[in-house]
Amino acid sequence: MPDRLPRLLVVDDDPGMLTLVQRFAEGERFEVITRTGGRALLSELPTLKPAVALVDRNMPEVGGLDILRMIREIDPDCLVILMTAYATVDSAIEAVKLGALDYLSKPLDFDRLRELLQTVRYGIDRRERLLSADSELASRVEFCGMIGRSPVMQELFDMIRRLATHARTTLVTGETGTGKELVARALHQLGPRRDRRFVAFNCSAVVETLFESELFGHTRGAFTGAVEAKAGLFELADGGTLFLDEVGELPAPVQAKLLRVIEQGDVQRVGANEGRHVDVRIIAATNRQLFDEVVATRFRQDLYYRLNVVEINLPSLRERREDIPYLTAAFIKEFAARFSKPLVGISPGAERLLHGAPWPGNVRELRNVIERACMLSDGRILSERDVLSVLGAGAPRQVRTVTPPPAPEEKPGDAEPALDRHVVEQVLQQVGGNRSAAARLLGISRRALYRRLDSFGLR
Amino acid sequence: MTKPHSPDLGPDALVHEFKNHLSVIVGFCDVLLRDLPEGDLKRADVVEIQRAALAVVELLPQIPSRAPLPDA
Repeated sequence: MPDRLPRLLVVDDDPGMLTLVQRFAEGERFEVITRTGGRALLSELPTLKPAVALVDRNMPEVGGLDILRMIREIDPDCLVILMTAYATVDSAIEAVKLGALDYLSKPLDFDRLRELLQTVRYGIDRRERLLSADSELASRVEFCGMIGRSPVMQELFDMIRRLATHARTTLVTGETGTGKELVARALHQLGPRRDRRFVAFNCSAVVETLFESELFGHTRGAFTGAVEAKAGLFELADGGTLFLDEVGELPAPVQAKLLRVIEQGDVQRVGANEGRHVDVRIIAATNRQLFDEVVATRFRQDLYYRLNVVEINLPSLRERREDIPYLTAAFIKEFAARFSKPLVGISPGAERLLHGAPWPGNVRELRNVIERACMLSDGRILSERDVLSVLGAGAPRQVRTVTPPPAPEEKPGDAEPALDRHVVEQVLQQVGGNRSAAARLLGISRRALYRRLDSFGLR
Repeated sequence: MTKPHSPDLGPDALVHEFKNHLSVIVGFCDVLLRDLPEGDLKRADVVEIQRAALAVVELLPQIPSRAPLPDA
């Protein structure tokens, strides 16, 4: 049973009607907020965050349809029921077209209203149950910190299990954010060296002059500033695993020395005359096409083949979209606990957005998006608005990554991004027809979107 | 706008006002009937109030939309 009641906003200029609906809906276990309408309500709407709103259509100052439009714009997940004393077929069609859940005539049919409120409650409960199921399933399909139920991830986990005990040198490839370090840690944890050290080194985070000293160590006085002898990472990882992230960034002289260490198992500190024997498992990772670097003579071919005894290629998130719900559920659970938020679910609209996004930054980007959305959310359900507010910034770039539009004709002086009909349709579909959300995702103004819709005959 | 003493209401607006007020009466009857236990003598009274209010709601469409307003 949810510990917080779903919130119902009732808007009517008749205080008697407000009292009546409040009395009824509280009996149906809803938290009820009542307002008599007016312009003040419009500015208050973004903070009220109701799960459902019951709005009178005919009110002075601001009409019910305007309130419906505004709610659809600021919180597409909020369901709106209109009520009126003047019910006509045309007005009902108009309301439903604008996204109203239903249109009730006065006197209210309380049996029908009860059904509608039950529908709302069922939807909320269902989302909570789904998230809970996804989260439980996520924990069951979790493997060494990675979550994946898709066939491609299950194959990957099998491969890691099989390789962990044997492979001495492994190359992990995949786009940024796919979890290359997690794979490396899994290989270490499941292998015979699990009780020894796992040392991670990011080759792109070290200045060129320090590579040798960092990896191989140095003797006292080997260079200016070397006031004490220092062991390199190879020595630190002796008996364990050294993870070389972004290995494609290694400068050529270090590549040669690394090759020698891998081949002979001897490291020589900078300034030392003799080498030391080390027994280190090396797992290298890169998001580059390392073979292309070899062809371009930026990476040594012999080192490439030494590292690439076994290659594990990680799929991008785009290639395993079916895992997004489980990843999302696991991240919501994690961040809800970390930020002490009452989050228990995600709205269908928000889920659609996450499922449709191109995710160039892969799981890391998804995790960051959920983290920021959880931080901003103050409801029980992560809404489309919460997700849009954090997806929005990078969205125009992303949307065009999904479906690169063919070269369109640019009007002289037209500063708006070129978007073809397919992209606009796709985005509108993603956001369930919400034009404000679509405009935001496309990175154009609403007016610009309407112009596009007119020109494509979609309006 | 629902104000019992609103002046200068046209016939359509007047019907609207009636309907709004009647909706509150009918609605509270529903709420009371839900709260009152079966067998409570007051239930019959409430049912009677609701029946009368609904009868007026049924009559509202018969008010001619362009009927002259009664003199105040």
